[in-house]
Amino acid sequence: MSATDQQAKPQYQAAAENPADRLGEKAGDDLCQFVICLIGSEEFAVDVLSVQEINRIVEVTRVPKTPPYVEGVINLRGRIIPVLDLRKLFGLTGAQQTTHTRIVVVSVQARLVGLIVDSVEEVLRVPRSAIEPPPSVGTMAGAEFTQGVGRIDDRLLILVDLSRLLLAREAA
Amino acid sequence: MSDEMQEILNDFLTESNEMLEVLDQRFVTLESDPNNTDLLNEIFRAMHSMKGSAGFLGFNHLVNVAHRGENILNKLRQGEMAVSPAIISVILATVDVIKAIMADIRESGTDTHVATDAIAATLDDIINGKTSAAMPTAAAAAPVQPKVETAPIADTAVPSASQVLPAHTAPTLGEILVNEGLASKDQVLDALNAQQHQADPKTPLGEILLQAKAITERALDQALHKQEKQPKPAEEDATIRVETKRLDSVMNLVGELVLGRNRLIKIGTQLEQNHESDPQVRVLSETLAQLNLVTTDLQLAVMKTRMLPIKKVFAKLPRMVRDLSQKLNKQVRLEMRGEETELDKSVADEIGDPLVHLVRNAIDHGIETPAERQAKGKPGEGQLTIAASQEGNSIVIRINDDGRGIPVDKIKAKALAKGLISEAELATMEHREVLNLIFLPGFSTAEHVTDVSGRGVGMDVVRTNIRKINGSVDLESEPGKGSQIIIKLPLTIAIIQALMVEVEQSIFAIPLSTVIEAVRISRTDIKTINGREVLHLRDRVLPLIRLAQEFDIPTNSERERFYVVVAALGDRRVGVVVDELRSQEEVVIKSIWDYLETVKGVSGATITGEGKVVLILDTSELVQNARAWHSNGVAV
Repeated sequence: MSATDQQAKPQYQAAAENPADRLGEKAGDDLCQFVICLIGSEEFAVDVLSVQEINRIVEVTRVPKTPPYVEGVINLRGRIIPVLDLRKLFGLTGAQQTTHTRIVVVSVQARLVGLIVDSVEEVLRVPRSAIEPPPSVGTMAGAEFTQGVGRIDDRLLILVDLSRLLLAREAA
Repeated sequence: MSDEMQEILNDFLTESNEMLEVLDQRFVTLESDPNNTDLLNEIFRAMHSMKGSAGFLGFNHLVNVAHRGENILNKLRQGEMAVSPAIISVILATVDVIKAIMADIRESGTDTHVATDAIAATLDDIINGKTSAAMPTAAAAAPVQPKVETAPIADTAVPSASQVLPAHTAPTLGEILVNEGLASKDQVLDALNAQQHQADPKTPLGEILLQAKAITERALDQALHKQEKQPKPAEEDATIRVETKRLDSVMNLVGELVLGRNRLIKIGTQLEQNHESDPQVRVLSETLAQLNLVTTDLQLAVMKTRMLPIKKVFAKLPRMVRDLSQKLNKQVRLEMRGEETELDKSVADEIGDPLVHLVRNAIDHGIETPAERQAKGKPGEGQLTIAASQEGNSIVIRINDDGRGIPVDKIKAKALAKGLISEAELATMEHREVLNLIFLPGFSTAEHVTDVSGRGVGMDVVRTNIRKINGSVDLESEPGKGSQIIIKLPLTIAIIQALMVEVEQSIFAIPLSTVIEAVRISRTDIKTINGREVLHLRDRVLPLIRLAQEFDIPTNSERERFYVVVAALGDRRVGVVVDELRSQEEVVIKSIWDYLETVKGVSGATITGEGKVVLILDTSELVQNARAWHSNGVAV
């Protein structure tokens, strides 16, 4: 476990030290910071304040009779937390676990949930003005978990609505 | 005073002291924020509940004062009176009197030593609208009436010498003299009177008595010696209150420690096997053995801090039984046994409601009216017995009534009518199994909905609650003779013994308390009856559950040999088919929080010595599921 942490941390820190400052000059004080995760070629953004840690993938214990996107549970230093597969939540396909696969541990309403992503890219500052509500048209899978989209130059970030993840269980 | 009474008293004192401490602060806040009705309500409630408890315990002086205080607070909160510093002062003085009374109760067990008339009069004046501005403030309204010559002294049963120092901390000389029979009460009173009229410096009481030849010098020495020897009553309680949350976190940490120990022991054992001759390894294993011992002791000690006598849960029953039997015109005699049996607080917290429900049911549905009973040749008074005892690692609570019993035919008819069970299935069920149908959701035998019981939400909720804490509930009944409900609870819900089993490389833990035995079988031993897979085990037909199928675990190949873990749920047994048996381990139950709480067949999870998460099976749920399957005609 500790080895995992040590390996995962530098990456996180490196990302934090690279503040993606190209937004700096036009941004006022209302900047949002996001952890940018990759699933396939899609970029997902998770509010940095919710992220507790980013770990390498560990052995996940499957829990029977749960929705497909519930990958199972993991042992996080003595705490058992559920792990969701963000790929399945957003209806994306493909990809096996690789050495880049990460579990992003987020705290949602004082509870910890792990999110499996293909890789973690960086921490990005995004001005609030660049964030738009999710597109109302279209029936994108996982639309209910989208808080909004962030447009930065030609990048399109999908903002993950963490509080919705908790409701997902009931909806399933 | 009986131990029980003393305990109730201690609880009362602890609670009241906490309340008083809070009250002081609240009043001060109130003074600066007089229109805060929330605050007023809070203070009112505190005073009110203290009065209630005091009344219950028969502390009339305290009730007197608290009642008046409450009246004023009521007027304040209803806006009939404005909060003014003068009123606050008087109320604070009231609180002081109450504190003095509390000290008196702690020390002597009664509340008669503190004079309350002055404060009561002051409070009455305020209530009656006499302006409080002229009223004396805290000092004058102080609880103590130092004058000895006030009339009622002689009436009080306590030695009047104590009147001199109402909230004293040790018995006075006069008191000792009277109690020891060295001087009469009148002699001491006279001497005290004399002392009172003296100008300062006053002669000590002993000397006055000596001069009056009321006592001998020797008696005085004896009394003085005794007074010196009197232990000062401890101001603090011998107990401290700790938030359950803190205990929980200690318990959690101990759980982690247990896991760490398990892991260390595993490594140690491996080392020992590989490097038997290495002296360092031997030292290591000795150290581990020591650690093992200490950890076990620590675990036990922490568990004990969370233990409560079941008396706390039982305490509310007598009153309930009384009220209920009166309401229903029944006569019920309640007998409680094994009240000293201890169980974990978390278990105690959960068992209260189910217990109340079951007792209600017993009185409402079980025990007949006196006329009905006499017609059956039973004594008019019904007998309800609640007995708790510890049996091995569980607490067993038995609720017996000698009522009309549970009509099996009615249960059958109802279960069929509600579609809870099929006719074919009913035919295969034993008497006990049929009885236990009343625990199914949506089942209620009461024809009329009363406000006592019978809303049809009862029994299944009872069972769900009991299962939540890894307990079980079972029912026996003999028509006309009565029923017995047996509740089995774990001593603690945090740590259990479990059997680790393996199915297709997945490991699961089965609570050992539900395991009867494990047998090795080959594929050909499995027979099918009515589409059910069963095993003939020593003349018994054992229904089988395949864990792999139950949990949709993909199976690679059909194995030739299996293990069957025979698990029991009440009288019902079921065989759980697994691939391998791994080990028996002590596991710490961790919740897999509400996100996954609804997973059927899993009651929790634990972390093994290797740090892996292993799910703990909910045996009772599995048995239920198996039944549901079969009744749906799905072949296993």
